[in-house]
This record gives sequence, C-alpha cells and structure tokens, in this order.
Amino acid sequence: MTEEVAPTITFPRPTNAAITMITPLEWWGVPWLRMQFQATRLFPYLKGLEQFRSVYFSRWSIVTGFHHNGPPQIKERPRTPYLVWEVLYSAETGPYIESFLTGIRGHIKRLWDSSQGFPGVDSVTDMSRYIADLSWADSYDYWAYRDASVRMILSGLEVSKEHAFLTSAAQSCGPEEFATIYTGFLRRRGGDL
Amino acid sequence: MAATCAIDLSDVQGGILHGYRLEHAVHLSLHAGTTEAARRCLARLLDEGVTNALRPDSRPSSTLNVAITYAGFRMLGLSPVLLDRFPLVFRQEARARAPSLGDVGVSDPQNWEAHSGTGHVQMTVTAYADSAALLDERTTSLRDLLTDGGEVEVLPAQQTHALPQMVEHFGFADGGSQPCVEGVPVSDPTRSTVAGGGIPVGRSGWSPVKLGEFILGYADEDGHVAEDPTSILVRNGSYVVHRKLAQDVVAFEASLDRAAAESGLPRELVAAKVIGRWRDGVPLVLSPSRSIDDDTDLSKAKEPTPANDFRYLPHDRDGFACPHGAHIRRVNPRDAIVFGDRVHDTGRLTARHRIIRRGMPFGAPIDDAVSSEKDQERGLMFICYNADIERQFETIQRAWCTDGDAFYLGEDQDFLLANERSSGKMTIPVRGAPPKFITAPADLVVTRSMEYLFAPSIRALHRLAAGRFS
Amino acid sequence: MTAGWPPTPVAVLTPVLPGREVDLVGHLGDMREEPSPFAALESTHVARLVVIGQVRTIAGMKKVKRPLRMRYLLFTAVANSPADVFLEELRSTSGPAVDEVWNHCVRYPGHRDETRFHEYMRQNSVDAQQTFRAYDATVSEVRTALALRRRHLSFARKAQALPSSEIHEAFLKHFGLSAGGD
Repeated sequence: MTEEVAPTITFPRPTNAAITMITPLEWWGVPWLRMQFQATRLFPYLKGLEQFRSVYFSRWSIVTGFHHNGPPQIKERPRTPYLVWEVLYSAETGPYIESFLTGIRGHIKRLWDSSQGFPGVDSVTDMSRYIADLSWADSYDYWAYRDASVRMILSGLEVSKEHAFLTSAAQSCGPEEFATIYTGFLRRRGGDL
Repeated sequence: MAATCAIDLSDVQGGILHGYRLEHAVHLSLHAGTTEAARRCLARLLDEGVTNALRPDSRPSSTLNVAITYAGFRMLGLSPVLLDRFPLVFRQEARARAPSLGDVGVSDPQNWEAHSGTGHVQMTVTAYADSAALLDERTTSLRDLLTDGGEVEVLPAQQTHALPQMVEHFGFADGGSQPCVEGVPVSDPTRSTVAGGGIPVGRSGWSPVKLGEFILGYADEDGHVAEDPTSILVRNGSYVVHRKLAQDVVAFEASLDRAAAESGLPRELVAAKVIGRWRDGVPLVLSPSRSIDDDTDLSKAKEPTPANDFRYLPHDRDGFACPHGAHIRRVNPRDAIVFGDRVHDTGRLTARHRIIRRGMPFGAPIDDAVSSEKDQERGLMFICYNADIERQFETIQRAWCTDGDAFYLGEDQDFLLANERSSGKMTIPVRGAPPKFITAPADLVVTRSMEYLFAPSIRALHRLAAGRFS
Repeated sequence: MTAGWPPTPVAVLTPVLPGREVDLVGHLGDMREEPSPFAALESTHVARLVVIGQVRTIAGMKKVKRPLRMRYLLFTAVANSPADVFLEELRSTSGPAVDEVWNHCVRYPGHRDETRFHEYMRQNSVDAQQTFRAYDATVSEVRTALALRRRHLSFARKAQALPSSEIHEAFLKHFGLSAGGD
C-alpha cells in the first residue's frame, strides 16, 4: 500500500502569464520573416529559448487578411501584414523581458526589426513599453497546471525519468546497494526537488 | 570615483544616499482633513528644518525628513492631470499590492495596524536622534507642532532603536551591504564600496549603480530618466517603502534547532546557510566554514564592516558555500541569476533591481526583555529607497523572496519571509553529497503595516507647501 | 487525446459580430469565475481567447488611413492532438460552452453541426510560422511528473534522517512497492 502523503494544497502561480502582441510589419517584413523562420527551422538553436526555461509555449504567425465568412462581416484586411506573437511564460514580466533582451538580443532583433515602431534591443524600458502598447489584454486563459512553472515541470520530468529506474532498483536490489543508488539519485536530482 | 552627473545634495533629502548613523528614529504618520491644513503642516516642517543630504563636518544630533503618499499628494492639491501620471503601483492603496508580495494568512492586510495601506496616511515624518531621550523629546515636539490647531491627525508614533552591535532581532548583523551609487561621495573615502556594492561586470569587474536607480531625474541603468508626473516635482526625490515587520524570535530559534537536527549540521552553520552570512556579517561565500561550536555566539562578535566584495559565479554556482535560497542571495543575487549559458553578463539581470535600505529594529531585544515584555512585538521597520517601486522593491519581494523559481527553487520561499503558501522547506546543497532539506516554517516574519511614499526634494517640498502643483 | 502526440498549437481567428464586442469581452471575464470548458479536455495544456482589432499607432509607425473596423476573436491552444482531433474533442465535450463564446462571432454554425463546425474552424484557422515548446510531454505526463516530484521531496526529507540500511525499506513503503515484484 502506498504510504499516504499529506495532500498538497497548491496555489496558482501569480507569475504565470501570457502575452499576445501584434505588430504591423514594414513592407519588407514578410519575406524577411519567412527567411528567419526558415533559418530557425534549420538551426533551432537560433531561437535560444530553451536555456531560459521560462517559456512554456510560444508561436509566431503572419496575418495578411481574414477569411470572409459572409455578412455582416466587413471585408477588410490589415493595411500592412501583422506579426502575431503569443507567449506563455512563468516569470515576472519585467525580468523576463530583461533576460531575453540580455541573452538573445540578436534573435529578438531579427524577429522584430521588421515591425514598425520597434525600439531596438538596447532598452528594457522601451521594449517593455512597446510590448505593453501593442499587447491585447481582453483575454481568458486556461492552464492545465497553473501551479507549476516551466522549471518545476522540467525538474519533475527529470525526476520522473529516474523514478522508473529507482523503482526497478528498489525491487531488485538489496538495502546496501539501493542506498548507494538512491544517494546517487539525490546527488543528481536533489536540486530538482 | 568620478561623478558622471552632478547631484545637488542640498536639494535631496537626507538619509537616502547616506545613512545618518543615528541609533534612534521615530516615524509619525499624518492625516490632514483639508488641503490648507496639509500645506500648513508641510510648511511647519520646512520651517522646523528638513534635513538635506549634505554631510556636515560633525554628525547632527537629530534630523527631520518627510515622505508623502499618493493620498497625501491628492490632499496637497496636486492637479488630477499630475496625479494620474504617477505610476500605477503608487496610485493604488498599498493593501491592494500586498497579496502579490506574499502578505497572506497572518500577514494579510486585514490584520495590519489600523489605517495602514488604506490611503488614510498622507505623510510620514521621520526624525532621527542620537539618544533615546532626545528622540522622546523630538517625538513630543513634533506631535505638538503637527497637531497644532487640531487640523491634522497624528497616528501613534513608531519608534525604532538600533540594537547593540547593529544586529537585527534574529541576531544577524544588518545594514552593512548597500549599493554603491555612481556620483555619490562615499562615507569613508579610504574604503571602496564599488566592489560588492556595485554591479558585477564581466568576470571580475564592478561598476557603481546609476544614480537614477534611486534618485529620480537622473539616468537609470537603462539610460532612462524618470520624470513622471513632472520633473520639477520628482527630480531629486525618491520612492520609499515602509514595512513594519514583526519577528518571532522564539520561533526562529526553534526553527534553527529543528533544522540542525534534520540536517545534522551545526546550528550556527544552519543559521548562516539560511541568511548567507554568519551572524557577525561574514559572508559564506568568503568563509564557507569556521571553527565554531554550539556555544559560539557570533552575534556578539560583529565585524566592524563585514566584507562585501564577493560574487557567486563561477565559484559558487552550485550553492555549496551560500545556498541558492539564502536570504542575501535572494535579495541581492549579484551575478547569480543565470539562464544556462545564454546570458554572459549576469550582473545585468540584477542591476535594475537594487534598493537602498534604511530600516531599524523596534521593540526590546528578547534577551533583555523582562518576562512581561517577551511577548511584546519586536521586529524591523523595513525602509527602502528606489526610483521604481514595482521594478525594484516589488520584484525582490515578489519574484525573489516570495518565490523560488528565479533560482530554480520552485515554490521555496525565503526562509525568513515564508508565508503559509511556501513549500515549507529550504534546500542546502552539499558538495560531494546529497543536499540537505530543512523545514522552513511560515510566518517567522509577519507584516504589520505597509505604505508606499515619495520623498520629494527640498525645493519640491517648498512648492508643494505653496500649492504650486494644483 | 492522441497518445504520444507532441504538444501542438492550434489557432483560429474569427470576426466578432458588430455590436457584440463588449458582450464578448464581458463573457470572457465571466468565464474566469466558472469551471473552464477546457478542463474536460485531457489533452489541452493551455488555451487562450483574446479579442483583438486594429493595432494602436505608436511612435515610429505609419498612420493608418483605413483602420480595421471589426474586432476578431483569436483562439489559441496547445494540445497533444492534431488540430482537427482537438477541435472535435472540444466540440463534442464542451459544445454548449463553445457556443457561448463563438455565438458572438459572425456565421458561427454552432457545435451541433459537426461538418459545418469543422469547416468554420478550418476556414478561419491561422498557421504558425514558428513555434516553441519547452517539453514534449503530454498533460498527463506533466501532472504525473509534478506529483512525483512532490512525493520524492517528501521521501527525501524523511530519508535524510534514516540510517542507510533503512532507506530501501522506507522507499518501498513510501512508493507502495514490494521487493522482488510489482
């Protein structure tokens, strides 16, 4: 029988957040971005987001028009194509912007240089204001695991990977051997707990 | 250090860029019923003499300063256009900010002192003195001055007194590590404070923190000059946070006993691991081990000026000397905020989140208290100065103390400041062995009040008293 | 849920009925107070509904002579299914709640007409040119991993006080295992 663990009350993390930002592109923006996206498909490390371990999911889309469903929809299109960027992340927004401007400024510049009004990558204040001005706040979010940050999830997945091995070792080894194995697990994964 | 921007210290209020080194202070919070009363109150304080930041040759016996809340600016008759241009964090009642700062459970604002954080407090007058007797005199005379005519309500005064050897109530040396600010003359010209007090640069360099991180009207670390709502109001001023924090000394000592038993580590080492410095102020990074036993009382052996010239990377990346979740590593991570290998100049990630601390303990030390006083409240009147409350104080409190994710610690909160929602544990990495996990109980420190204020320049105070911003 | 399918983005951009924009924003606010229609979909990591429109003109931007007149509902989600499978799960599991949102949109056919529902979503879908995900795990794997992490922490805290000879037995007991078997 599994030893009962006291039920854990978890709380939604106040720093789990999402941004939907839409920026109008310069005339050269669409071909430029298509090149950038192709480059990151070939060389994913260019994105550079993995090491931050603060972004759950992110997506970039170019919107040049809207499907016309019929009246009363007005037939219209944005005057210039839009870059629609959405990101879901677990960090304070200010430090999050700071970290990617400091760590992947080249990538940020390549993606947003073709957006009108882009203030460049030299100022966190200006970039924060740009994002705030061009983000959309009327939203509803659902998270399947609102109490966990990206880092907690990645830690949990690492622990999970080793759990199967530990379980198998516990069922097949003697006490002394298992204690050694378990100590090794804690040395590797203790920081993930 | 060469000044890159001349600051008129005669216009900046004192106590911000340099501490007064006076061991007694009183804070009187005020509420005026009318704009005229508020302005007269300010005028009386100016006539009494608001202390500026010029350093006299001899230490004054007492000082006087004033800070104003958003409600206070409104009562002083600031025009709606100007009021609307204050940052949102300053316009909101402090109580509204509290939950995100970890003030839940026992620290919930509903348990705070009456009127705190509600917009009732309009100004806080702070006086320092070199003796308790003089402080009592000043408290009485200021109260008489301010309530003259009965137009101004003066809330109960909060006195604070430095403890012997400049420790706080948990017995740790406090206040020795402050930012080194560019262009500001240091207190002791023979002792450089930029190494340790500045921003880590590259592998081993340091640079002073930009003046605009603390005093408005000057360039900050991002090159921006904060001037809202208007330069003539805010230049040479600073935002100030007042937080009254009650400390449960008995529970803290018990938590150390428990942690020592859980971890098998000496009690004083556990205490040092929790804070990041030994009780006498010596940082763990510089001195990870010492010959002590459980009878050693380091709180009585305080270093005159604890060493502060250290970084966490690369030598203590793993936290074997100073744990990632230790108090000082959270409140000032220096170069320790990392994102894999992606960010090389990690000092930049803390450069915009520094604060100047000027707090002082209140309440009698528990060892000195007679038995009837042992249950009386004691703690820290936490006071900090910064140019942007949300980016500086609130980021430290919310993202670094009340959460552990920035340090890869998940829900672990600062051992000292943990609330009921914390994980309840702290991880102590151990070189060559599994980490130790100690119980970090909730509510060793409880918030009893909070106000967000602005300390205007001397000139701005005169203009406010004259109604020049309406 | 399609077993083992990596987290996959879905995005649909539909025009809001003129005059119903405020109502829709209000409804999104109300949804925050209620159980989520996405909670019943085991494959859904995240889902987001945002009302968008003409982008603000800020410094450095060209002034727009003919701004967009309509508002649009941007729906995005990440789920462990191909987009059409996810949308079918959404339709069949949370149809009425889906209707409450998309009834604010032009020509939305309702969840009951399966063919027209999928045609509507497909025609209004938005492709992603670039995506990022921090992990490949399913929702279930993430939740299991988080719970396991907590259980391991609980055990590690107990184990540090145990002599090494007792760790094995304590581990078996904590995780409900028996030596030499399942």
